[in-house]
Amino acid sequence: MTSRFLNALLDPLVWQYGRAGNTDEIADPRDPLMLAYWEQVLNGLVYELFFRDELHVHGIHVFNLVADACLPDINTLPENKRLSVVRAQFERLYAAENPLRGALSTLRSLEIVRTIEGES
Amino acid sequence: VRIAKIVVKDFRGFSQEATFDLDGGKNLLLYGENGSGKSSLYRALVEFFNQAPTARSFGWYRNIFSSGPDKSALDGYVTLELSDGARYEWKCLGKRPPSDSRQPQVVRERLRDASNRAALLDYRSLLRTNFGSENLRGRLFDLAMTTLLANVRVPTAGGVERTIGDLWQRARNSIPRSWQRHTRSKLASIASAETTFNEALRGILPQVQAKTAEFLNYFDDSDIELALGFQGLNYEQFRKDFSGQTLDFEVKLHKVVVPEWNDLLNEARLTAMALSLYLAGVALTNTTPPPGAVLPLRILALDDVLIGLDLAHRLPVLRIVEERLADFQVLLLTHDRVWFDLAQLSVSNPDNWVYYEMYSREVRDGNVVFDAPVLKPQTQNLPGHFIKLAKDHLANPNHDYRTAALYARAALEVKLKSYFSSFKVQVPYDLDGRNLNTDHFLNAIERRFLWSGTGASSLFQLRRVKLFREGVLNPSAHFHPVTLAKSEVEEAIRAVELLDFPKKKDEFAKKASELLGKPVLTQAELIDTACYLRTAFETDLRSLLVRYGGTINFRDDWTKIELDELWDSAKSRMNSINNALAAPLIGDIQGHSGLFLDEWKYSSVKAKTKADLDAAWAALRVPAAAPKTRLAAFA
Repeated sequence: MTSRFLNALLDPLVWQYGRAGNTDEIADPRDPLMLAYWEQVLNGLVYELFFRDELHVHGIHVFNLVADACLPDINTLPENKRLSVVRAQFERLYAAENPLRGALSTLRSLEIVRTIEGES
Repeated sequence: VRIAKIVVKDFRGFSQEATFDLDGGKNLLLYGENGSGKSSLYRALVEFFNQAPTARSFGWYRNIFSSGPDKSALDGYVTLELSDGARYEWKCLGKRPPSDSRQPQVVRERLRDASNRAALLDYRSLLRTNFGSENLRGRLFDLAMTTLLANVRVPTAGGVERTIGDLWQRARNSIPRSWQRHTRSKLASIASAETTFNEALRGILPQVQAKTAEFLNYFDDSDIELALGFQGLNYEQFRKDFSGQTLDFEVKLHKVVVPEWNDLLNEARLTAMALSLYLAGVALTNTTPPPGAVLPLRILALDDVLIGLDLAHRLPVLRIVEERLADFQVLLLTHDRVWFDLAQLSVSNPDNWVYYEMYSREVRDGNVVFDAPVLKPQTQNLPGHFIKLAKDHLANPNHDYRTAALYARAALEVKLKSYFSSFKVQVPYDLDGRNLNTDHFLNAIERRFLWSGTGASSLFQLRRVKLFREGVLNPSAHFHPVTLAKSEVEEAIRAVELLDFPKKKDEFAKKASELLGKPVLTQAELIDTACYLRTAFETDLRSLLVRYGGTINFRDDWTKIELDELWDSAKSRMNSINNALAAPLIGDIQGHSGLFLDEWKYSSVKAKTKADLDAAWAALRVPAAAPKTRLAAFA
């Protein structure tokens, strides 16, 4: 179950990094933000694996939220469709009203996260 | 979660304890004259939530006059009581609660979350928008990075979320000092900070631009379109600084690109743009907590940031915060009395707000004399507040009828103008708007109700108010010698207090009949009954004219239709339709002309007894039937 979620997230990330520098496609100024956001989601999953109680006391359940997001398997998509799908998924999950974004945003207040990310 | 109470002592302007009771967590609208301590309240909130490593201790903010010259008493504090019952105190010599290790970890984390979400802006920040005409794009970049967009959070490489302000500071800090060399590691660090900042700002600008445009649309007469662009920072070794510290703005005014826009855009428009940009950043950072999470504390405090806007441009800001940032507990602080009053009339739900006034008074402590804040909570919205003041002045031991009458009139004006701004009722055109008085508003509303058939109960209430237009509620009747009687002032206050504009229909004849069914009526009930009878007569008279095609003379000003003219027209139509039925009806009504046809004023109505009203009702009604006037039944 968990690995499927991770794959769903890792696939766009790995795929995007793989095509970094590909000048054939018009770069969107939000692409770096998108990459950073996928990494933030992965970080959130890792935090929940290691600091489950600290996250749950604030009602933060990143695994559940990623599951609820129903990310598509981009490997099943044609190559020329992937970027637009990944961008659309990013815009959906990065919207301020999306609970996944809210959970990741709240993470920044947690002391353990602040310590790890150098914000203490 | 909301702030229910703010208590401050020995902090900046507050030498003694001051409590702002927000009634369980309502928004705050605060008027404070200059030097009253208004900005000290704002600063207390800013500092309570300040997480910056450079944040100063409480001692820095102590009131310089408190506790005598030696300042020996260290008992100051800023306390927040929340709507969930929690209470957090930042004490003199203590740490701020978000970083106080004596607080449970989960509490510290919640307070940090509140701090991350807090949107606090004061007028000093916005003033920078308008100073000078040189390098405006550079100054706007600086303003955006340090204030307007500083708290916008962005994910960065590695999945770490930072604020734009933090990224900008990191970029600045990566630059070596004048005496330092550009080592390889230093250059790498600069390049990394530069890339991170550029990617973050470029990444969020499309969203910021879209949201700013949405908010600018609220300023519907500004007709400004805004395009934002950022070329990117580029480090120049020889200067030891970044080039590209500009935020590109393409501004279109009335669809035309403004090339030198600082010359053409006025202060109000620049302020509107800056505020829209700031509120866009707030909205984009206001994330929805996940299901099951404790609701976060979200506060939005604006300290006099609207001073660059005229009144018409301030109302959109109120609409933005009420409609688009409804999750936030809003604290609006102003030194503008007119705006304070107008905002009270303009908020969409006055019950969501509490209102405070602040003044300063001179205090003597030993040989030291200084100004201290005086808080005046306003427990109700503006009309209710004025009614309360009217009653206070009327009651023992004041017996100040003149002031009571003035407050009653003020409450009436507020209610009428509030209704006007909500329903866009028209008044006669006048080159000088100051010529419009309360009668214009009363008549216009009355006309609207009479002819539209709506607001029937309000019509009765208006009739009750109009009883007092010549006396208590007359703007020119309060000069010496005072001729106001207490009972008349009491009745006038009651009439204004009960004036309401619900949209439900009412049956005046039925109401009059019900009241007259009582064996004994109080003075107030007698007046109400008279008002019901008069309103029943007038509404049914107009219905009859509409029903049978009654005519009146054409006039330029349709607010001035005298009752006499309507009555003459009705008599003529009734006589031509059914003279046998009309003649006795006309005679009966004219037999009670004091109640139905004469000028409507308190001095004549207050003399009516129950017997008078019984007789008038007997003359007007259809006998032995459900309460109904003979005008309504005329055929």
